Amino acid sequence: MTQDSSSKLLIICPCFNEAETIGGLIAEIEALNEDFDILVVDDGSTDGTYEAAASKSMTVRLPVNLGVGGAVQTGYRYAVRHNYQYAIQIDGDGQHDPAFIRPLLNVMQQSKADLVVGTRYLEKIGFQSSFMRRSGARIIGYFTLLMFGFRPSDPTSGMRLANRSLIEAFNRDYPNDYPEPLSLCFALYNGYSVKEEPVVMRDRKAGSSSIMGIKSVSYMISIVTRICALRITKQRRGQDAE
Amino acid sequence: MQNEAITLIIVLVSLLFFAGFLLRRISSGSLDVFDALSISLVLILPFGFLLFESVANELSLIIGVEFPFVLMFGMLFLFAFLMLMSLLMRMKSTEARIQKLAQELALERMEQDKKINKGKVHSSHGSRTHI
Repeated sequence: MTQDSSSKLLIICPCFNEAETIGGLIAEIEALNEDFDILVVDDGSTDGTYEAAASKSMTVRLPVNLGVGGAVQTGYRYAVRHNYQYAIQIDGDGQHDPAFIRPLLNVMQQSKADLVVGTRYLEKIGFQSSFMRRSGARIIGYFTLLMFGFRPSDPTSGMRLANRSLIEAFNRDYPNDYPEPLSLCFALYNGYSVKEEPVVMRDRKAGSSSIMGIKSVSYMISIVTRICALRITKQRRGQDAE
Repeated sequence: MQNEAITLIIVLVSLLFFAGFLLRRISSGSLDVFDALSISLVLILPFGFLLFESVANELSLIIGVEFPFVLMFGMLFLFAFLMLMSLLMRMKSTEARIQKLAQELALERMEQDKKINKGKVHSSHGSRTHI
């Protein structure tokens, strides 16, 4: 890892009990032969994820489980400390293909967008998730359009690339609950530009999603409520946190 | 009249006991003064209603409640609700601070480990060249 990372990209991999998949993911990233740094954030795993990751890449071990929002924000904190220009979030469960990091970076550099989200629903190739989740994503997308004027096709996608100014904003304030759709709304509301780029997502290699069945309905209701609250209260969270 | 005086004394004695308990908690540092005052409302409010009965009656008439004790419980519920809300907000802010602390601690620890490992690599290289 270089001392001055001003032009570099940091890959943030939040992990919770992903000992089976994290090694393979790191190997995949290394096989890209790109000048990217990897930071695995072990969110208080109990299955040896830290040991599996620490031998292969930089790994932060959180003393307690903070949830995906807290884990990702740890990565943004690191990116701010080490002056990274770009930071991309990739889930440690192996669902996101690292081969799409470069296309996302190209889109960001060409369009000068602040946030580029990898979406699985634009070209509908690869793992498409359950009907319930797709419907939920659609509803959240419409609410985001209604409140912030942009309709994300995959608001729950965890594969997202942020530039320096958004890294700094996320370092100050990043939602803990429902981080993916809410951080997207936070970015839109604070005037950051958002782009989408089609990516192919894979089915989980191990474990299962925490949002299934009836939980996905309550997840959707909670997000929609939070999106409305964020818009109605006109609370510019990043500025408040300062 | 005598019954009312007995009730007043009972509530007053309870209030004194409760105040003593709260003062002990405040002096030991396990309770904040503001929190103690908020909790004290559980006894202060009924005492006020008992002491100023006519005011309580007038107030309930103005608000449109038939019995003053309904108004009293309504006010107690309102205070309890406000206290709960304040507690939840404080809990959330404490949670955010703990989270930041955990993140900074983890990052600091990683940086320290990196330095130690670097040091180890340097010293092992040093001993190799020395041999």
